[in-house]
Amino acid sequence: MLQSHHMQGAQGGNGAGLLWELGGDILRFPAWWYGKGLLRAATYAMEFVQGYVRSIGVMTWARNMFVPMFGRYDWQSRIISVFMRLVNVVGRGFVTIIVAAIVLGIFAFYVALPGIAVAFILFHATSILSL
Amino acid sequence: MSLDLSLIQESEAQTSGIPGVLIDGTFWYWDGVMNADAIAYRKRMHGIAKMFRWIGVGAALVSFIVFVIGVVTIHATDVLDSDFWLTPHGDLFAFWLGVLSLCYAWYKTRVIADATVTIPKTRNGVPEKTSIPSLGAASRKQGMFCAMASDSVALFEEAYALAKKSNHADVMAMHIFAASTADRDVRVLFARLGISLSSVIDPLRRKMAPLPTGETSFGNTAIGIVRDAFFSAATFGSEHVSGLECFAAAYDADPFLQEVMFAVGADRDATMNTIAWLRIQDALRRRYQDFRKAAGFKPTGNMDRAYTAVATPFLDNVTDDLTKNAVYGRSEFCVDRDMEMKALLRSIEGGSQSVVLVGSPGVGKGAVIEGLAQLMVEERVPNILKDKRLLRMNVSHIVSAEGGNGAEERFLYALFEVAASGNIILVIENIHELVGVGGSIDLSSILAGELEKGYTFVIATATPGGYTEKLERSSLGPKLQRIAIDEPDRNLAIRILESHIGGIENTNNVVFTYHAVAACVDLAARYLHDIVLPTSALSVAREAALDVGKKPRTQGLVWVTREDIAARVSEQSKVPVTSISQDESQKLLQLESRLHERVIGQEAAISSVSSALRRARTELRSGSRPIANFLFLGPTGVGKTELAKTTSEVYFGSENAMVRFDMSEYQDQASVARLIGSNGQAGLLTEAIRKTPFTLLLLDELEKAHPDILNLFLQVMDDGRLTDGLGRMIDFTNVILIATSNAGTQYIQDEVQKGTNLAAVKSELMENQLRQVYRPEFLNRFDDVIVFSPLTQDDVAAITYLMVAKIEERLKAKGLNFQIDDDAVHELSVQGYDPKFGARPLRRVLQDKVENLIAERILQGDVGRRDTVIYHKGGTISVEKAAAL
Repeated sequence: MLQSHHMQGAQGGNGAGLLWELGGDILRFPAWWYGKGLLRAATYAMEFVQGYVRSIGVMTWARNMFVPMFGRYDWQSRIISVFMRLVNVVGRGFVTIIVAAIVLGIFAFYVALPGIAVAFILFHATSILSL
Repeated sequence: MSLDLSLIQESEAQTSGIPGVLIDGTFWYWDGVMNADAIAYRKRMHGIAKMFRWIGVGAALVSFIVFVIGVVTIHATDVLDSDFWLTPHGDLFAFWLGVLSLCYAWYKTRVIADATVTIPKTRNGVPEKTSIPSLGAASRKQGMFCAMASDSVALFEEAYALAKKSNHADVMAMHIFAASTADRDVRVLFARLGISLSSVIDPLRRKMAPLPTGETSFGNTAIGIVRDAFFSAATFGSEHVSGLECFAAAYDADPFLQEVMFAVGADRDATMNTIAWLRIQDALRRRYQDFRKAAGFKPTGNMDRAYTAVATPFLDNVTDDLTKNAVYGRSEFCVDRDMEMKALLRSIEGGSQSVVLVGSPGVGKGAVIEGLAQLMVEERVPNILKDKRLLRMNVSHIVSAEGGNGAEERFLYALFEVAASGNIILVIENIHELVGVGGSIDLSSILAGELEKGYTFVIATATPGGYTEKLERSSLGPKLQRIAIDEPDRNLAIRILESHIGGIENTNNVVFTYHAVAACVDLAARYLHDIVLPTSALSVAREAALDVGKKPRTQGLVWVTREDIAARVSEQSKVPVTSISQDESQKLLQLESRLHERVIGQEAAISSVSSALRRARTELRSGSRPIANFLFLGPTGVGKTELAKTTSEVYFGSENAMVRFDMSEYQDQASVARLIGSNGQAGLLTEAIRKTPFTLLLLDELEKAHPDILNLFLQVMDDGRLTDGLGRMIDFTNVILIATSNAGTQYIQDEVQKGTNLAAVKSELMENQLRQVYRPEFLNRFDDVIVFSPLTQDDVAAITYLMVAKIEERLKAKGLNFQIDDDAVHELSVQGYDPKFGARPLRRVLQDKVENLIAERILQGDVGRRDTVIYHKGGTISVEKAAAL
């Protein structure tokens, strides 16, 4: 893997070659961040939300909406059960949405971070240039 | 006929082609480049990648420091103001530069980590070693270099460097083996095996010196080893190819390396089991991580995920929740019971039929059930078991309450709760105990009736005896599908033990060598027969670790060695430790002289016994027969019993390590039952051997035993086992069986008096005289029939010296000295000699002539402490008073 990349740049082995390589690497950095890195972060965020959904069992509650709770099959219990399940599905669904929104926010921030940083660097660089 | 060369070349290419491993249709092949340039380049690139990461971290750090200094010194109050962040500023330039540098450092970290890929878990079947003629032939292919752990890459590079340094033409298994000794895991392996690195490296150097020289290449041999290492890693579910796998592949590839390890005390089994040990530790760690992740999703309360279950207050009182225990990490991992687990899951999935695991206590039935509970936690089970609780019912809780009254009601109520809840699978341990229990209705019939209704099923356990005697015949028997849980063989037992050793080591702060682990299994199998493997070995390991852990520590790491295990086992089995683990070769070589210390004459008998014991101890004997079977023939008082006692002392460390049966007490047919037991009763013989399996079994006067008893011993001598009245298999393979017989005595005495050769006497005895008493096949089962010759006058004189020495010893204990001259000894021996009765009359003569006289003098008060009693020829004694103090 490692030896297949950029043999030319590194084989110089001197300071100039190293700088050349560092320059190339800095260029590869945004490509990775918005390519492979983005995919990776998205997968992680998705798995996190899925794990959360699984752990609070919101889908299980929804699937069993009309199955009586606690093995009580009389009609009064069935009604109470449906009501309880509805409350649970709504409540848990709401929490899931909040968690998903937070995760999405963090994800968006992560994705935008280098861009924001570059933008602000350029913005603040004006003050240095004006000195 | 002309030869088509192209065909041959093509077929060679087919066979020799590109070696690789097939995992789910993807062909993994070696794509690494191993030459001096590539290695140097790789190292440089790796160094640069790491350096860039540190540049990123350093830049971030400097930037943040500049920002903080700027803020603290100039803009301390402005930070909270939003205008501060939105106004162009030098400090903020540093801040955002720091953020960008951190992002870069993170990118470098990920890229370095992503340089290695994880070996995928096989979904269909198992990985397969294969070769293809060219890479184009593979529809999906992947290089295996990126699956190497960085340690393994360094290891192969080191192997190449070793070969290159000596100008060897090829990187061989020996180079890889030598390079792997620097790996951490391999060092642990050597430590576990108790081997020093230098003892292996020196012969390796000598063997490597004359290897062919030339331009070094990482050729087919080395690639084959890499492929094998990759294959092992994929088979055992490792994420990367570790240094240990490289070591294992190199070891496996070269018989010389196996020879080197063998020479330093690690045979193939030991090495492979130790490698397996390290793999198990790694696998357990990975399994634990996966399990913890999965356990987070498993409900631990009474309810299933959908809340359709019903509360089960009564069941909660009489059961243990195994799934809950598993979630909380209170159960141990089940190792290497895949076959049994598959059978269990198959029969549950097949028709929701109830199953019974049948196995001896300690064989691991509970471990299989706990393993099932863990699979249920991870939900890696058939649908019928998903989102269910596994509850273990304690039958005694049901039966014992209220003095046993109302057991049926309680049992029915428990089953009612199982039915109502809908999310419970019941485990009933020792289900055979339900049979015949209860008032008017048998509990097993109640359960059979409920299982008939089909609303639930049970997972039960039973002992083999309980199953055949009770369960099979009851109405419950046909409802349960039988799954046998067999005692693991040696290697499996070692691996199971290895999976538990980590916990034992942590608890007691000790470290086990491999030989100690193997000894736990070997010695427990050999000497502890109350419980079976692996539990017997586990308990030995736990107790030995406890013993060693309590010893005062001179160093940080305390090793549990084979000797510690031997000491524990001997304490438990009452077999002296020296007889197990002391180097016995000297003892065995000097067997004749040691036996002669107590038995006078009988050269032929002693030499025969010694040879047989040496054969037995060097394991040149069949493992399914007793150590040795001897028949001692000869007149009374010639030393038959004495030789048996001496053998016991020399071989088992104590004269008392002997089980003696006087066969004149077993003359009728009913005595068979007394010896082996019947109808649920243990027998005298079987019980004695079960308790002390490592013993000398002396059968006195065998000719007097009932013929049925002889048939019994025919089986013992042939198969080394007997079944007792409780249906237990009693192991006789660690027994030395010695039978004495007076059959043919008259003939022996007559012939010896005539001066006939003993060999001729023996041959006549075997062919004619003994045939009247014993059947030929019975006589043939003995390793040796030993004829004791009648004692001569000289023999009796020697025995007199031995007996006189014993008197002297007894007097010494009372503070008295004893002296006797040779003439007096000779006189006593003449008086005590009787060709018919051997040395028996001698004891009486010594009693009458010597001991009686001394006793009288002691009672008269003539003899005080420190005085010397002198026995003179003619039967008189005098007392020499000790000098006053």
